[in-house]
Amino acid sequence: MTTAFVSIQAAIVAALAQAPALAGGRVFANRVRAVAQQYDAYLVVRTDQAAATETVLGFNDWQTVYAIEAYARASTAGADPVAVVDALLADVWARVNALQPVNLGVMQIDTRPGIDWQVDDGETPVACAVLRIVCTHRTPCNSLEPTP
Amino acid sequence: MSITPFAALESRVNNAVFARLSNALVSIDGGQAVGGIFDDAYALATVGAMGMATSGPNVLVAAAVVPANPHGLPVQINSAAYVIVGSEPDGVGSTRLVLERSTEAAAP
Repeated sequence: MTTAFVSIQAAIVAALAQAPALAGGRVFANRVRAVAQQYDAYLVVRTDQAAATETVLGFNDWQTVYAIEAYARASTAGADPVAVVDALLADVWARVNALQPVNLGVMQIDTRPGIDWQVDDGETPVACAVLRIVCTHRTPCNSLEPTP
Repeated sequence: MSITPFAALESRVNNAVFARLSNALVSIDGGQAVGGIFDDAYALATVGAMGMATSGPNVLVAAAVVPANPHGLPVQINSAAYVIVGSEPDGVGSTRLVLERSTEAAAP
């Protein structure tokens, strides 16, 4: 059995990796180890949290938050790390806003109004921008499987 | 009691360290190459939930060879090009230069 939370996440990953793939197709779900230094950009989709908001006729309505982390590194010294991740962030935002709920198996998709930026140094500057989307979906009360 | 003997000893130790332990030729801002102790170990940048693999290039050189305002100066180390982004004198004759990799071609 695959829960709705995992299947929706897989659909988000697939949408980001769909041609033309973002971050060169390096899109991961729940990755726990950093990608090799040779790669300049990648995306990680994490299931952030889920809350059942309503129970109707034997079904739970959920609002599940997914975090999309966009990682990028500068190619040279002195670069503005926020600018380094900016293009990837814009691409992710556009792709997320083009998502159709039916393709994810959800009733509604909302982008949470908030983005977090984090920067650090290293061989060259690096940055990560995190945005979150909220998927409203439904499961039977006696199961976490997606409702057909 | 004079402190001069200690200063002289300190200088001798530093000279011996760079003479015996240098692993790189370091040229700051096109200057004459001097010996330095270069290190570029793996580092995990703390961004996002996972971090990002990188490395932390730095080189230890004699403080006397470091210009007064080294930030932003180009450095060539073993034919690779870097830029100085940090300067950390140890107060006893050596300075650790924190580096970032530069895409500018290093001089031959």
